[in-house]
Amino acid sequence: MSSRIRLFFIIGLLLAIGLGGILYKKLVIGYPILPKQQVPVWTIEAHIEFNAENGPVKVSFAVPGEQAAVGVLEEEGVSLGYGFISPADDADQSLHRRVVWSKALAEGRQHLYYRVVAYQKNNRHNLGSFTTATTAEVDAQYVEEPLRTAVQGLIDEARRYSADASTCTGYLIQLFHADEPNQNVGLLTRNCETDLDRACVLQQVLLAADIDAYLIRGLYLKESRNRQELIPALMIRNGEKWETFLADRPQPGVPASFLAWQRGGESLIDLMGGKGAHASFSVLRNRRSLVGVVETASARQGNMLTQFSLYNLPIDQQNAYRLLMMVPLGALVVVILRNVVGIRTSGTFMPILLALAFLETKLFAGLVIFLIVIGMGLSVRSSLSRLDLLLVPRISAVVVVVIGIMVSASVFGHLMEMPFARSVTLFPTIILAWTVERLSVLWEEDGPKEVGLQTAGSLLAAVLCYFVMGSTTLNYMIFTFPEMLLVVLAVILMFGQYTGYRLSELRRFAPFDGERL
Amino acid sequence: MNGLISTKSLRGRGVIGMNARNVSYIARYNERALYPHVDDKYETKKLAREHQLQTPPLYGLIRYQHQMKHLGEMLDPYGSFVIKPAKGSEGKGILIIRGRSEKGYLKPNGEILSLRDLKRHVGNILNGLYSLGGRTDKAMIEYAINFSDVFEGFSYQGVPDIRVIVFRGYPVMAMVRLSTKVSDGKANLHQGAVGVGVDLAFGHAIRAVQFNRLVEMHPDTGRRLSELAVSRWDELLLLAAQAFDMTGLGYVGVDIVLDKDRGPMVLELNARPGLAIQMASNAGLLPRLQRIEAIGKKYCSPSAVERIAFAKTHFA
Repeated sequence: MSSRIRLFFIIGLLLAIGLGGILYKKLVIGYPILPKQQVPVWTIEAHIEFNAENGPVKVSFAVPGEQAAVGVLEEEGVSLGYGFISPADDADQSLHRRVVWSKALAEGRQHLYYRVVAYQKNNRHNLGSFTTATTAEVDAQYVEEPLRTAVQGLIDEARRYSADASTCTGYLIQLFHADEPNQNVGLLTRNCETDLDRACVLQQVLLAADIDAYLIRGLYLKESRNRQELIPALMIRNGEKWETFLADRPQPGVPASFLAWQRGGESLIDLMGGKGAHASFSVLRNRRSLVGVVETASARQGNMLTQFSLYNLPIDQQNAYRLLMMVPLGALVVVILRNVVGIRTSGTFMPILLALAFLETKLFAGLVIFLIVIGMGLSVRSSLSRLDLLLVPRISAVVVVVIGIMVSASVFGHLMEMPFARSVTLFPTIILAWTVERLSVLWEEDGPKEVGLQTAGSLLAAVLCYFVMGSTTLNYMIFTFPEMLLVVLAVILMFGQYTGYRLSELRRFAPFDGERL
Repeated sequence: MNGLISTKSLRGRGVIGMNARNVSYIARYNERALYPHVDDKYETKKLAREHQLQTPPLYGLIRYQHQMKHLGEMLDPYGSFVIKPAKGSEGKGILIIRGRSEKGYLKPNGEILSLRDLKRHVGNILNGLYSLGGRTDKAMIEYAINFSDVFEGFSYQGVPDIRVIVFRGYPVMAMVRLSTKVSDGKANLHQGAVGVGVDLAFGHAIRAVQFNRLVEMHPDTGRRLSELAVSRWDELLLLAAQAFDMTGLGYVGVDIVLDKDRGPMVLELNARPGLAIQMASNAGLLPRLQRIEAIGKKYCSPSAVERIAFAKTHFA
């Protein structure tokens, strides 16, 4: 009994580790359960232009970091002849990350490029909650006349019609965007040309009203678009939490597709040694496999588990393992067929090897080749057995003849342009030769009937194994979640203690009197 | 006869299947280290001699290819003999020679073999053609059984044997295995031999199966199988029960032959005995096995005679 308990313990342990690993990778890291899931990713390219003044140049440029709804996969700065410093990736920095280009001597029109690949995260709730704040001071001109009165007027009005910082901001945005702006707004925005300018003024008003506010600028990740401008937004502190307002919407909140490019900091571009800096943005939308996105993203965040992924192996090794990892599933099929159904196969794992051969030749071609080679191999065997040869030389002779048959089939098939003949490669050849050997021994020992039975059983098992092992879904799953091997192992161990009847025994034991099915 | 029987009926009769046999009895009661004693018939024979259990006398043993040169001389003194592989399974590779003619050696079916044929057969045995996994093997040459008159007309060209399932030293079920034309003279049920279940008390026939189906008469000789009654039954059971003491295997099939002159002899032991015996006996093994499991290992009798008495009381 104790061995049974130990077995159940081991099975439980394997299931817990295996399923736990799968669940962790699914829920926490975000690996998709099914294959071929693709997610949109956006490649955003910032193009910075300026005129250099024939001297040293230093450009500091605000770039996006990881946010709640949008993640960063890759980033790079491309510019010929410039030194490039990418920002450190710690959490504090990610609020106002900046990259720096520098060059000792530059003249004329300069072009700098910065590219970032971003993806939409799944957690659509909890948008834009930035924790760290920068304390900004009110600009001097707003605390002096004539602007002071206008600012104070707006603040007084907004406070009258609001309850807290959030509603106050909303009211002010409404005032700034009214069809006919009131006098105070008109005065404050008289020099404003762009939305950005207006947002800057609004930020000053908010600061004057003792509301912590700073400007952020970002992009919508939607369709591919060239020459986009950054959209301004304001982030304010409402009690304990921070809220984000688009500059033209009185309600807090930004869409999940909003990528905040610049958060805090003085300006988008700081340029030394040049003039007329301008940045334009183009967004390119394409799709990538979810697995790749998940792996890159969690590697960036330093998650150790993805380091152990099979996807990190070189491609040719990956392909070898893709096939190899399917063998346990084939073994499970054989276990079920033999111990639960009760099908007789020749050799315990010959069906798996046959299935592997079929995977290489494709099913129909594999079956045709199998039947031809087995038929011819067995007839050669019977003529060899009349020559009174010792066992090992006889079997070896069969193998040689079988390989000869297959090689000539290949060559003829190639000449006749039959496509399947070409699929006979080294691996299936060896497996088929070995199968002929086994079957001829069986013929000698148990006669043709048993050969027929076991060949049919093996073929049936091999075809089932072929479908299981050839399933792209299962292949993807076991390759992405190698923990599944532990689950398969646990199931196989469970069958190891299966003491019930086999399906074939219901027929075998039919001579007993009893209820019929 | 046709169709499938329900698992409920099988369970009700206590019939055990392959999985239950393998997991609950063979794996649990047969220590792997003891297998060589029974997987190699030469080892079994040596062990039986040490325990003074009767086995067919050994005429010669061929281990190496070069010993085959002397095969002819080795066989000279014997009119009839059997050549068999020490590690053969399911009766494979057993060659019976019943006599001689000028042309050579006579098989029971009248086929004549030359010395060259015999050497080829021995060569195949040494090369492992009949052994599990193709391992190299030894060829045994031994006494050919003259089976007892009680089997007259019950067998076609082969020696009938009695398979007794012995669990922890207690005989639990027995059957006579009769060779047929399809079984090629072999007493193996897989190959088409007839299995006749016999009751443990007297050794009288219960019913018979061939290829897992009930039969009334021997397919080749036409004798009514219900008339079969084994003689010297108590001696035979004693031999089976003692075979347990000799090997220590908890769940074992003991194959015994009944010779006209020499009486019951242990032919071989099988650590993985088949399940068809249940159909031949029209009874499941499980209740009997559980009855013995209930005794507990400590209380199993060390005396083979007492164990037989127990079996006769409870399982007959």
